[in-house]
Amino acid sequence: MRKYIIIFLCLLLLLQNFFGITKYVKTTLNFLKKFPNLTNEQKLRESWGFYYDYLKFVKTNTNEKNIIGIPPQTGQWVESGSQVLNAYFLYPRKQLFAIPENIHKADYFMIYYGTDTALDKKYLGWPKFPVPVSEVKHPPEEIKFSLRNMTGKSNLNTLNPDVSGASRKIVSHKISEIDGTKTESIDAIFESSSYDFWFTDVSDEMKYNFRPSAEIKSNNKNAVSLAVEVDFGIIKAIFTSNPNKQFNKWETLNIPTLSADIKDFLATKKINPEYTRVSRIGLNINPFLNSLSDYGYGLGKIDKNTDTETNLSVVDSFYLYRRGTAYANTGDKEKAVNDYIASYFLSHNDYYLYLAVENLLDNKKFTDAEKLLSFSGTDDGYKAYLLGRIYFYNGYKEKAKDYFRKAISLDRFSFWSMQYLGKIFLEENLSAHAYYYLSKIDGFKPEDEISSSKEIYDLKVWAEKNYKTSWDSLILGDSYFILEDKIRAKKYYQDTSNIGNKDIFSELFKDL
Amino acid sequence: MNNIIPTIFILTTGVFIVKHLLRIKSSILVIFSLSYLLGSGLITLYMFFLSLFGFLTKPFVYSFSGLILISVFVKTKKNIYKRSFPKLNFSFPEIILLVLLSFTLIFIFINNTYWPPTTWDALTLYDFRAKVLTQTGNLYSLIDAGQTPFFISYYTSSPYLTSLLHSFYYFFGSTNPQIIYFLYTLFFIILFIHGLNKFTIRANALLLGILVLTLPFIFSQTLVSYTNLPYTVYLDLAFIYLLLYLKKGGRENFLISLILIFFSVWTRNREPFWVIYPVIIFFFSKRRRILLTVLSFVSIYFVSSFWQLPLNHLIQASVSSDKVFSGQPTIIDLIRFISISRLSEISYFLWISVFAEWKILLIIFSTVILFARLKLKEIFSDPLLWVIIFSVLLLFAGTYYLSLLRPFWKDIAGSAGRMMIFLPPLILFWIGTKLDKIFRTK
Repeated sequence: MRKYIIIFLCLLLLLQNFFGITKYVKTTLNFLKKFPNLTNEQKLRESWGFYYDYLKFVKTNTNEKNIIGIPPQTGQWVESGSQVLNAYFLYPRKQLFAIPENIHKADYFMIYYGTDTALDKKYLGWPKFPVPVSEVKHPPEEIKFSLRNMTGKSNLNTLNPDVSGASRKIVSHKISEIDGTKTESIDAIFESSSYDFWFTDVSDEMKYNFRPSAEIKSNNKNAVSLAVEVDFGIIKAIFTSNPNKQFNKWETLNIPTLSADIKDFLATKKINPEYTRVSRIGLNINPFLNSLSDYGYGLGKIDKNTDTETNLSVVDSFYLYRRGTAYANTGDKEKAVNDYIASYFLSHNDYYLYLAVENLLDNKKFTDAEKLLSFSGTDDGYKAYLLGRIYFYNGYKEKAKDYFRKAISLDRFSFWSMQYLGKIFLEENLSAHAYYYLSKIDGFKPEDEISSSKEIYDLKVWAEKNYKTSWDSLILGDSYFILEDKIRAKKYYQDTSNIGNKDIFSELFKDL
Repeated sequence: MNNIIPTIFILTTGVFIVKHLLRIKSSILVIFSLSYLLGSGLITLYMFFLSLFGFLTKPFVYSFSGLILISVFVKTKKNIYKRSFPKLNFSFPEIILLVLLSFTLIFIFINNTYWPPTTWDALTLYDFRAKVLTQTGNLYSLIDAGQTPFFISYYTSSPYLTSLLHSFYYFFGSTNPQIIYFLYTLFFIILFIHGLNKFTIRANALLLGILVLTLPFIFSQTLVSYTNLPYTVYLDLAFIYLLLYLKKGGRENFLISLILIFFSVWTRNREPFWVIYPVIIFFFSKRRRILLTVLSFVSIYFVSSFWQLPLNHLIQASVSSDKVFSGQPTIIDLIRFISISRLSEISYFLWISVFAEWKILLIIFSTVILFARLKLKEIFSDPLLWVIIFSVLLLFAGTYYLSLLRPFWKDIAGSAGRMMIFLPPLILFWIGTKLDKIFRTK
């Protein structure tokens, strides 16, 4: 009898084992039947999908001595942000976890949209800060567009290629009549984005028209922007519009801020306005986008000579943002704010604005920061965090707490908000609350950020070192305390205290 | 073809150790199985020393393999394997079990010859190191590849057996070294069944062998280039050969078990389960107990860490620069914070992450304990049972220690499950040793 019981149990285990492995065996055998002759590269492609293609693209477009800037290894960039995983495909190329301060050390920069599983789409798209690049390499992309009614351009003239840093092949370029209007069409395949200006001379009567426009229809969004070359007598500069936003629809491109931009330019360069006139009009095809992350996937070549003065100054939002930062750092706050505002209105990119506000806060320009932030109409975690900082510095701690909590609720990765909440609770002797927020900050070190303090780090270390309690009940207690459900909070703090060290939490009960 | 030549060289190296150094007499299957496992260990040790001096290059690897091959042929004057094929008269249940076993092994072979290393840890560490070492021939090139202390430490703080074994295959032109994991599985199963056959009838040994092979968490490890499978193979066979030594005697059994445990820590050294080995010797060895205990402890400890010495300063540096937690619990802390709720929390965690998957196995284990009617004296004289008990206690103590050290200790669930895959084969082996007794009892 015993023998049969044991044999029965063994057969049961055998059955369970085979049941457990059958699915994998079946899937694998089906795959092998379907693809018996794949190369190792194709098998890696099967295993890693698009990530493999992207790394192959990076490898092809760089040499073995290059250093490549990579995103942080968070949820949306868990593969591309892994230095050790990338190394398997890119070795001996070196990698660098890119931040604004070290980006100049890299030769190339990954532009990687990321895994589309983030709670909020704003987490996607890398880089999240401006990067000085001279070229963006990307998979071949065919750009077709038509142009009509360009101010100052004769219908008989075509645009001529001017300065270009892009790698492209022109497929066709012609003028034809569509719906009774002379229309110029260009079809080109681009393998990289850079400046790629096409110009024609403007007629004499249009030389003082600072409201240029053109109608564009393209098979791509962000394919073309309007460009105007302005001659200041001693220097020429190119001003560009935002790129087209429509897909296969006619839309009008213009530069509404051109007059103001020219005025700013004259003031900055201290140029006599007397000789200012529009010299040429044209397009920038497949232009640099204001935010590199808008490319989705690509490889940015770091521009190591961004500070070199050239006769050709491309005025765009990024340029203004960087100039604003330079002013902020040298203490010329008025010029800094003006540049930041101009930059924002050129791009309408909240991220630049937020970075600008951070720069002002780091330079202790709280009023200016608040003024600048008021231009943003968006309501997101980053903005809430910045407002929290502004209120924190102005002494409104309760309001600051509200904004930091709001920031965390909108952005669960808002670690700096957690840091500030920890700091405030620490000052209020709510050590468990401080501990709650601070211990959520992963890998936090005091030297990481100008605004962090040694005491917060010490508390975090203390909290982790003295962790002797049930983590879950402490978190629940804190959560209910924050939700002002004091009865439940007390219950969970009590549990925590029963399990762990009573002294640590005695303070909490006083509040309850 | 590109996998056959390095496999032959490893087998030859192993035959040199097994037949000519240890002078083991057994069937050809056992000789070859042991040869591959021991040959892999020896060749990778040789390659490690070459890489220390930047000499891990084709001429050095080829000449070593050639010398071993020649010396084996010179020393082997007659065909010593001729007489030693196992008997081939199988009963019907045995044929069924052999068919199932063969199908499973054939699938592993097909899978592993088709798929190259593709899984995360294989690419980020084991196979990557193999590629770098094959390309540069120099251990120190891992420093260059790591760039920062954290990643240098990542590349250099785990033993090199599997990486160098991949590298050995690459040196002979292989494009997919995953065959290694099939060979480890094949030879492990042969030795497991062979060892168990000394305690129970062949049909039982075959049944338990196929149970080991098809346990999903073992089976899944046979298909990937991780270290868990080779570690399990070395550690389990070390304990099995130790059991054979303690129960049946034979100096060669002890030597094999000692070499196998050396290679287990040369494969993985993160888990300290090897400490059970000297403990078992201390309690169960009948001769030279103290000497063997001390000798085994010191030598295993040495093998588990000697390879760190050349790059030790780098590993230390990285630990201090990336350390998040400032202190470690003292022994007083460990005792002071024992509480029922903490222990129950840990037990529940270990149940979910490790033991829940073993349900039926644990039922069989409990049933066998019940049916075997073990007397206290039998329990205290059963080394393998104590290996199992000590392993569980060590897991429990380690998790308890970790729970004091890290607030997020529960994140290790997956690793804890993988870390313990060595235990079910030992449990099944122990079950096998009791079956004859139970089946004889009415």
